[in-house]
Amino acid sequence: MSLLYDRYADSLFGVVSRILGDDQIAEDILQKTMLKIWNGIDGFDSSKASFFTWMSVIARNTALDQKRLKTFQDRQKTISVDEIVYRPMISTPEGTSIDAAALLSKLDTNYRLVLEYAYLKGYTQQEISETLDMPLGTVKTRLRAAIGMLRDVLKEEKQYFLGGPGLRSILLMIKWI
Amino acid sequence: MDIAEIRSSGLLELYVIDQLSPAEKAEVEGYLTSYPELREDLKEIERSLEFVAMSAAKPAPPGLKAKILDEIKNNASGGNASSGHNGSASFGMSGMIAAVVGAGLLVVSFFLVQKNNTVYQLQQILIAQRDSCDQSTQALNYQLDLLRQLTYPENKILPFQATPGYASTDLYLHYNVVTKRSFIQVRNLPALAANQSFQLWSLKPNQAPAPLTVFDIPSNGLIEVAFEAGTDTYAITIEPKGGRETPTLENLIGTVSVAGI
Repeated sequence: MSLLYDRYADSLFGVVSRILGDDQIAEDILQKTMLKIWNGIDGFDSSKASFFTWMSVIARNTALDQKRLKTFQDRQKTISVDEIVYRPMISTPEGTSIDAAALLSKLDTNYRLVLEYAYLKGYTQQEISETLDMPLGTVKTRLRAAIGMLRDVLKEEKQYFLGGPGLRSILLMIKWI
Repeated sequence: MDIAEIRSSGLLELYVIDQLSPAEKAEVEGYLTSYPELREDLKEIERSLEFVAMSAAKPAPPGLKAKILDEIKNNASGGNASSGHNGSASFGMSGMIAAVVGAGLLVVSFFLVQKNNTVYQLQQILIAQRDSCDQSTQALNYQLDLLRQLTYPENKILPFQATPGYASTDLYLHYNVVTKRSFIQVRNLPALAANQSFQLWSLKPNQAPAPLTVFDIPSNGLIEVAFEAGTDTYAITIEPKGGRETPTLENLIGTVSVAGI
């Protein structure tokens, strides 16, 4: 769990805290998320998704479940949503770094915004359309285009991503040791 | 949709973000089966979004890791403690039950083995007793047969005439022409050397003596000997062990006539 936490907790916390807009509750949700991940590793199917995708779906859904609670919505009215600040550098397992800020700066702001709302804040495309006052078709196009641009840039950075059945096996082994 | 339409539909991106309805998810999974090359698209989308998440990471609150690790530990140890406690209890209970059952099985096994050994021993005794009974029965049947023969109505009891050199000879021939069986009842016989035996001879008119039964002193005083039809006289001699083809006349100890019987 320590390995899992060190590697993914910050990224998942970034997702859940932005969905919830409340770090205090996000902390509880991250805890729930990490425990769900830890207890549910057996259910991870690498043929359907990467490990991080699987974890991020758990994190997002756990956070969205919390967000839908009326008690949370009442509390949320008084809390402001922070601006997304990207890390300047991301270290790879091989010891190299990716200049994330530089890379993301290549994205048009409007495109990046749609991506942030869809992926980091858990908004549906319809919600993005309403929130940003943007036609639904435009939201769809921009979302796909933003991801497409990242795909092109990151094709050379495959080694950065750790996943697949090997990772699951390692985690299962660690878990049961 | 063909593969190009699928790629441009935005479905793959929403599949990764988990913003599709169950029906749309199933549709995408169907496309992934039909077009395996879409899996590479999917991986690239996943990598892109993971990169975004990594880039937008926020430091998790300090102390959360320890909290989570503690909770896992507590759950595990709680589970283990609980299961350990229950395990201990159940182990204690099941251990006791197992011990009792085990001990019971040992005792039962011991008694079964003992019983089996006893049964085996009894079987051996029974077999020995049965053999002994068979032998006794055989002996009794023999004695009974002798008795029948000796008491047979046509049975004749004829005394041997001792020769002068062996006057102590005291024998009877039990002779039965109906059953064609003969027995010699021994009341007294001369002593034999270790290399000697008695031999019965059949004497018929104008014939050489025919060698018959070779015998030692019978322990029960009675011995069945050969019945030779047409015999006039039976004679007994002392011969070398194993008998001879011709009698040693100087060792003739007695004769009995059966002529006319």
